[in-house]
Amino acid sequence: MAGKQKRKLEDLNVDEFLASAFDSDGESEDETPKQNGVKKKISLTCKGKASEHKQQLSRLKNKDPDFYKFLQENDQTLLNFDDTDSSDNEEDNKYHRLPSTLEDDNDEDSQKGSKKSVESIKVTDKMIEGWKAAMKKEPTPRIFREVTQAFKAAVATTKGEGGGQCRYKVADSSVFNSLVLFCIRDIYVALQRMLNLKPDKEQKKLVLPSSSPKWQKNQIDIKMYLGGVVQLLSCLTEATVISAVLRHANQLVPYYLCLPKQSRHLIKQLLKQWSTGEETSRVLAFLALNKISRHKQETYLNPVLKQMYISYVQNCKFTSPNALPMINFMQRTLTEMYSLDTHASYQHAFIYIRQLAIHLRNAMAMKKKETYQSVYNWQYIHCLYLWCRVLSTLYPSDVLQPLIYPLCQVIIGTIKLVPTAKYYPLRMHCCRALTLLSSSTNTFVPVLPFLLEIFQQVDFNKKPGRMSKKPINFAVILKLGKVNLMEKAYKEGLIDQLYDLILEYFHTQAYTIGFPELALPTIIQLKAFLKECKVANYCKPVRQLLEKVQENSSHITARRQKAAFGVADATAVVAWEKQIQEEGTPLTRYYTQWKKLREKEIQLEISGKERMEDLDLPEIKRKKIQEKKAEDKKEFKDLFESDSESDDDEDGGFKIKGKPLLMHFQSLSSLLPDLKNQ
Amino acid sequence: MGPPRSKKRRPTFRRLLKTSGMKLENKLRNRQLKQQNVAKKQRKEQKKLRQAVKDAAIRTPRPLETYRKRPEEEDEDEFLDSLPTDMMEDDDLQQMTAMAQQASFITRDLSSCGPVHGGKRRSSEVVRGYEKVPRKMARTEEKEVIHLLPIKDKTGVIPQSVERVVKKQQENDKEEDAAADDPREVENEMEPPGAVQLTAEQMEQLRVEKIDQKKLLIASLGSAVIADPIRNIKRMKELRGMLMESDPCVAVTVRKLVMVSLMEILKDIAPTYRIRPLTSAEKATKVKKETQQLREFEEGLVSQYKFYLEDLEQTIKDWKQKKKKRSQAVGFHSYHSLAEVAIRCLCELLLALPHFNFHNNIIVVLVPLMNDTSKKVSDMCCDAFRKLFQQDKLGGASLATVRVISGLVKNLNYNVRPEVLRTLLSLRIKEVEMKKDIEATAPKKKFMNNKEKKKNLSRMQRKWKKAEEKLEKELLEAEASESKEKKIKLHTETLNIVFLIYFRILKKAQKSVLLPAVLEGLANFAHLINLEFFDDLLNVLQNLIQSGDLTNRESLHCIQTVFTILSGQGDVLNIDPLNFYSQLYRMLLQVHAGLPNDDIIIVLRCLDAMLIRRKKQVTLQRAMAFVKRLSTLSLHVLPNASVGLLAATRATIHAFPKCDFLLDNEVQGSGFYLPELDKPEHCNAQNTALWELHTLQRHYHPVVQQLAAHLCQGAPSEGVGALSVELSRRFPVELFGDYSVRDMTFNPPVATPPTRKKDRFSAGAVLLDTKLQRQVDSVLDAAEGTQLDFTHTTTQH
Repeated sequence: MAGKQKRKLEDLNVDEFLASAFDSDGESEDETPKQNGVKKKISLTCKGKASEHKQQLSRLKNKDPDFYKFLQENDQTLLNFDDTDSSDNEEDNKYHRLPSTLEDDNDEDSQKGSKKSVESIKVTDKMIEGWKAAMKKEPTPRIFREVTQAFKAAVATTKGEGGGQCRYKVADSSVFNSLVLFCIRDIYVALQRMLNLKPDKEQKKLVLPSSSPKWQKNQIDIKMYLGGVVQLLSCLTEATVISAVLRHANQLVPYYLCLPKQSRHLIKQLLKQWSTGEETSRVLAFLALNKISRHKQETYLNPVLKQMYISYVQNCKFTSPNALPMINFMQRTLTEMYSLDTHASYQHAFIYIRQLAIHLRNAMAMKKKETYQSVYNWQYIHCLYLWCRVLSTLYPSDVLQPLIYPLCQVIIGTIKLVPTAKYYPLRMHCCRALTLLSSSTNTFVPVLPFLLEIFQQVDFNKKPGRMSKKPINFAVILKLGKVNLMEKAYKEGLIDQLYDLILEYFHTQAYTIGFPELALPTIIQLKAFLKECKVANYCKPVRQLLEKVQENSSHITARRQKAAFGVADATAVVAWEKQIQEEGTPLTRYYTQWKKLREKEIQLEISGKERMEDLDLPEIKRKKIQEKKAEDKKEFKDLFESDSESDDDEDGGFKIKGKPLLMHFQSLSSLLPDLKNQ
Repeated sequence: MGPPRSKKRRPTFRRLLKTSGMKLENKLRNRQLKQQNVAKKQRKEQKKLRQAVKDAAIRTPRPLETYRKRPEEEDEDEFLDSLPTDMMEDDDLQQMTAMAQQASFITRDLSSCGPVHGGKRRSSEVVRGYEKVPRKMARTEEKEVIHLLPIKDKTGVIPQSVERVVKKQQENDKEEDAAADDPREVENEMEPPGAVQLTAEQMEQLRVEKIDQKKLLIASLGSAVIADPIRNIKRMKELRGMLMESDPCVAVTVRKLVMVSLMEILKDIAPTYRIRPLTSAEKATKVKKETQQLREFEEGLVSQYKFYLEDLEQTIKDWKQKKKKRSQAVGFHSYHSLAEVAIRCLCELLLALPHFNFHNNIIVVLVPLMNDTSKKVSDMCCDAFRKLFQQDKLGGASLATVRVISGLVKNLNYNVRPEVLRTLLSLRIKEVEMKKDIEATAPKKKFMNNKEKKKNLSRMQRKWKKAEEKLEKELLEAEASESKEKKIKLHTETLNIVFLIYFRILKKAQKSVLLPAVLEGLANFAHLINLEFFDDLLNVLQNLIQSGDLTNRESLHCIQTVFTILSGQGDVLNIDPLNFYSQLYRMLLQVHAGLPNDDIIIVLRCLDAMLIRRKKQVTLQRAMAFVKRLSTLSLHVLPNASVGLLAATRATIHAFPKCDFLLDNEVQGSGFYLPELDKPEHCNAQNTALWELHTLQRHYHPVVQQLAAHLCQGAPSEGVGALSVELSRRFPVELFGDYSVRDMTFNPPVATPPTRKKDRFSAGAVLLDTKLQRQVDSVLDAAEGTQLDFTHTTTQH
C-alpha cells in the first residue's frame, strides 16, 4: 500500500517537475530548491509530512549556505546529464520511519531494471560489488562517475534532505555503509590509476593530479566527489568513523589542493576536528592541515595559522585534567605549523604577543577587577604557554629570537599584576612557562625571586584552619578561594610545587658558571625557612632541596676555582660550561632520578583522579586520594580498553572517553616542561 | 570729620537733589563704621587662625542648636565634576518617591530648612550672622526659631534660641485641615487630601522645571557678575541667598549648583592682589569716583567671599556633626554630598587664590579634613595640598599649612593617616636649602658689624654708605618679585616645622604607622637637616635599624638619610658608619624582583652616597664586596633594576680601579670567599670573580646583556667594549627609571627579524616534537577498524 501511494506521488512529482522546469527556463541556479519546495507542498497534501521537510530545507539554507550552494551546483550537473528527478527524500523519510522492508526492496529491484526510467536508481550491494570489481580491473571515468553519483546520493541522505536530484538513491543502512567503505578504501587508488599518477619515488614534492592529462576530463566528477567527502565529514559524529574518513581525506589532499573551493571547505572541517574532535581525529586533521599548508604555503599557510590560533584560543577557555592533553596537543601541533615558515610566524607571534601585552597594560592602568579578569584567565595563560613553546621549540632561529624578550616581559608583568596568595597557582604556571622558555632558548630569566617570595609571604607555621583530604591539583587551577588558603592541602601542595619548580629551574642552570651566585638567595631563604618552620613535613623536602642546591653550588665553585681563564674569556667559559654539562653535576643526577619518580607519582595521581563534573568553572578542583596499587591500575587499564563508549560517570571513578589510557598519560606528563637538553 | 568739611566735599549734584546734609553725613559715617568693622574682623580672623593652629583638631564640634534636620532627603552620591547632570535629578526623584511612602515624613517639620546659619553663630560672628542672612529669607527664619537672650561665657556671647514647639502642631493641624496651600506639602504628602494629586511623573516634571528655572537664574546672575563685577557685586549676594534654597525637592541640587558657580565666579573676579582694609586715614581722604567705586567693590567682594566661605564651612560642619549623631542622620546622604561639593570648592579656591584674603582660613578648615575617615574626602584634601605645595613659589601658604599640620599631628597624638605626612614630601624646598640657614645667621651679624663699623668709618664714608643703603632699599622695593631672602626665610621656617614634626614622631611615637612616612621624609630632606641634629639623629636611626622592627624599605630610608647627611655638610663629622655599610650589605640580598623591586631605587641612591661620593673613606675590601654582591643581586631583580645595579657596579669599578681583581680567577692572599657572610670587610671578596656576568650576558633583556658584556671586559670607557653614550652618561637612578616596565612599554623596542633567510626546521614529513611524532605514528599505525559503522551518522547539524 505504501508503495502504491508512493508511486502516485512520484508521478505527481514528475509532472510538477516538468512543468516547473518549462516554466522557469531562464533561471538556472535557484531552480531546484524551488522545485523542491513545490514538490514538498504536494507531498504535504499526500503525506502530511512534507511541511517538515520544507522547513528543514529552508533551515538548511540558513544554517549551511555553503552546503546549500553545493547542492545547487550538483543538481545543476545532474540536470546536464538529462537525468530524471528522484524522490528519494520521500524514500529517505520512509527509511527513517520504518526499517526497510522486503516489499520495499522488491520495489527497488523492479525499478532498478529500467535505467532510463525517470526514477532514481536504488543502490544495492550487488551494484557496489560490481563497481568494486570494475575498479579493481580497470577504473574508467564512467564507473567513477557512477560511483561518485552513488556516493553523492549516500552523502545526501546524511543531511536528511539536500540531494534532491540524485541519480541514485541509498535507502539501506547496510548499503550506505558498504558504499562509503568502498569509497574511502578504493577510490584513492582507483583515481591514481585512472589519472596515471605515480607516487614520485619518495620525493618531497607532491604530485599534483592536475598535472595529469586526464585531469580536465574528470575534474567535474572529482570535484563532486571531494565535495561529498567534506560533506560526509561534516555530519559524522562517531570518532572511529570520522578518523576513517579523515584518513581518506588525508590521501586526497593533493586533489583538494587543485580545487581551491573544496579545499577551503575541507580546511574548515579539519579545523573543527582539530580543535574539538577526538584524539585520533585531531591527529589526522592536523596531518591534513599540515600537508595542505606545507604544499601550498603561499595561499594556505597564513589563513590556516590564523584560524588555528583562533580556535586554539576558543578551545582553551576551560581547563580540566581531561582538557589538558587536548590543549597540550594543540600547542604542539600549532608549534609544528609555526615551524613551516618562521617569517610568517614572526608576524603572527609579534601581533599576538603584542595583543597580550596590550591586555596586560590595560589591566595595569585600570587597576580594576574586570580588567584583571581579562588577563587572569586560562586563555591568556595558555596563550603565554603556547608562545613559550613555539619559541623554545623553534630555537635557534634568528628570526624568532627577538620575540623572547617581549614574551618574558609580558609573563613577568603577568606575575606582578596581582601578586597575592590567591593567584599563586597562576604564578606557578607562569614560572613553569618561563623555565621552559629560558632553558630551551639558553636565555636567562629571573624566575627564582617569584618563587622565593612565596616562602616569605606564607606563614607555614600557622595551623591550618581546615582539614581537607583532597589535595589541590595546581595544574588545573588559576586561583585559590579563601577557604582553600586555610587548608592544609594548600600548604602541602604549595611546598610540593615550590620544590618541583625550584628544582626544575636549578636543573636547567646547574651547569652554568654563575650557579653559586644564582643559588645564593635561595640558600639563604631556605635556611631562614628551616630556622622558622616547625612543621616537619614541610621541612623535609626543603632540607633535601637545600642540600642538593648547596652540593651543586660547591661543586661548581670548586670546579671554577681551578679554571685557568679569566672572566673576560667568553669562549673558554662556554667550553667549560659544555664540559661540565657533559660530565653532569650532582643536581642533574639527582634530578633525573627525581623526575622518574615524579612521573610515576603523577601517573598514580591521574589514576586516582576524580573526573571533573563541570568543566565550565575554572575553580578549584580537587581529586580524591585513592591509594591505588599497580595491580589496580592494570585492571583499570583493561577496563578502559573494554568500554570505549563515552559515558557519564558520577561515581567518582575515573573515566576517560574512548582513548587509550597510555596516550593520556603521555600527554599529561608532558605538562611538565620537557627539557631539551636532557 | 566735622560737618563743614563734608559740606565742602559734597558733590554739587547732590545739592540739586536736595538731599539733606544730615543724611549724607550719616551715610558716610555708616560706611566708615563698616570699614572699621571689616578691619576688626580681619584682625579677629588672624587671631582665630592662630588659635586654630593650636586647637585645630581637638575642637569638638558644637551641637546644633536651632538647626533641625532638613526635610529633603535627596540621595546624591555623585556630584559630577562641576555641574550636576540630569542623572542626579533621577536620584532625587527616586528619593522623593521613597519619601512619599514614608508616613514619618509628613510629621516632620518642613520649614526648618531655612538658612544654615540660623542661630548658631559663634561669638565673633554674631553681627555678621545677621548681616549674612539675605533679607528675603528673614521671614522664614523668624518663623522657625524663637530667639532667646544670649548667654555669655568665656568664649563670648552665645545666642540662644529654641525651636518653636507649637509650630509642628500647627503644621499637623494644617495637614489635617487639608488646607495645605504650600506646594511643597502637596508634593510630598502621600495622599494630599482634596488637593490635586500629582503623579510621580508630574512631580518629576515639576522638579525639572523648577531646576531649570533656578539654573537660568543662577546663570543670569553669574553672567551679570562676571560681565561687570564692579557694578554688579551686589548680585553675588542674591546668588549667595540661593544657597539657602528651601524647596526640598530641589534644594540639594540648587545648593550644589550655587556653590560651584560661586566658586567659579570668585575665581574669575578676584583680583591678583590681597585686599587690605583701608586705614582710617585713607578713608578720610577724598578720592576719585573710580577709586571710590573700586573700594566699594573690593569691600563688597571681600565680605561676600567671606560669607561664602563661611557657608561652605558651615555645610561641612553640619555634615561632620550629623555624622556623630547617628540616630538623627536622616538626610545624611545629602549632607554628605553637599559637604563633598563644599570641600571640593574649598580645595579649588585653595589652589586658585593662594594670594587672596582668607587663604589661611581655608587652610585651617581643610587640614583637619585631610585626616577624615572618608577616603574620598581625605584624598581630595591631600591632593589639593600636594598641589599647593608644588605650585607655591613664595612659601607663605606652605608655611601656614605646615604649621596647621604640625598642630594637627600633635593634637591627635600622632594618630593621623600617613598620607597627611606624605603630602609634605611635595614641598618645594630643594632650591634654597641649607645655605639660607647659615646666611640667616650670618648676614645679621654683618649688619651689626656694619653698624659697629660705621663708627669706625669716616663721615664721608658713612654718608656714602647711607646713600648706598637707601639706593639698595629702593631697588629692592622696585623689584616686584618677592625677594629671595624672604623666600629663604619662609622656607627655613617651614622646614624647621617639618623637622619638628618628624623628630617629635621619632622621639615619641616610634611605633606609630607614621614612621615609614617620617623616614621617607627624612631621606627626602636629609640634605637640609641642621648640623646640630646630626648626632642625635644618627643615634636614633642606628637604634631603629638595629631594633629589627623596620621593614626593608624603612631601613633603606634610614640608611639613605644617614648618608645624605654625611655626604653633605656632615663630611666634617668624623664618623665611620661601618654599621650602616654592613646593614646595607646584608639587606641587598633581601631585595628581589618581587614586590620590593622598586626599593632598588633607594639602594641606588644609597650606593651613590656610600661608595662613589665617599670613595676616599671606603676600603678596597669593602668596595669589592659590594661589587660582588651587586652583580649577584642583579641576577635576581627585574631588568630595570639590573641595569641600574650594573651601572652602579660600573661606577664603583671606575671609582676603585683595583676592583679588576674580580675579573681574574687568581687567588689573592688567603681565605675563601664567603658569600653568606654579612660583613663586607671580612668576606674575602678578592678571592672570587664576577662569573655571574656570563649568566647575565644571556639575560632576556638586551640592555642587561650589553652592560654585562661591557663589565666583563673590565668596563673600559673607550675602545671595543665601551658602552654607548646613552648608557654611559646616565646615572644608575635614571637608568632605573628609563627601563621601568611599570606601564608595559618595551624599551628598547622589540627588534625585527634580522635576516631574510629562512630557518629550516621541518624536513619533509618529520615533526619537530618527538612526542608528537610518536603520537602521530601511533595513530597512523593503528589498524583501521574493520567494523566501521556509518549509521551512527546523525542528521542534525
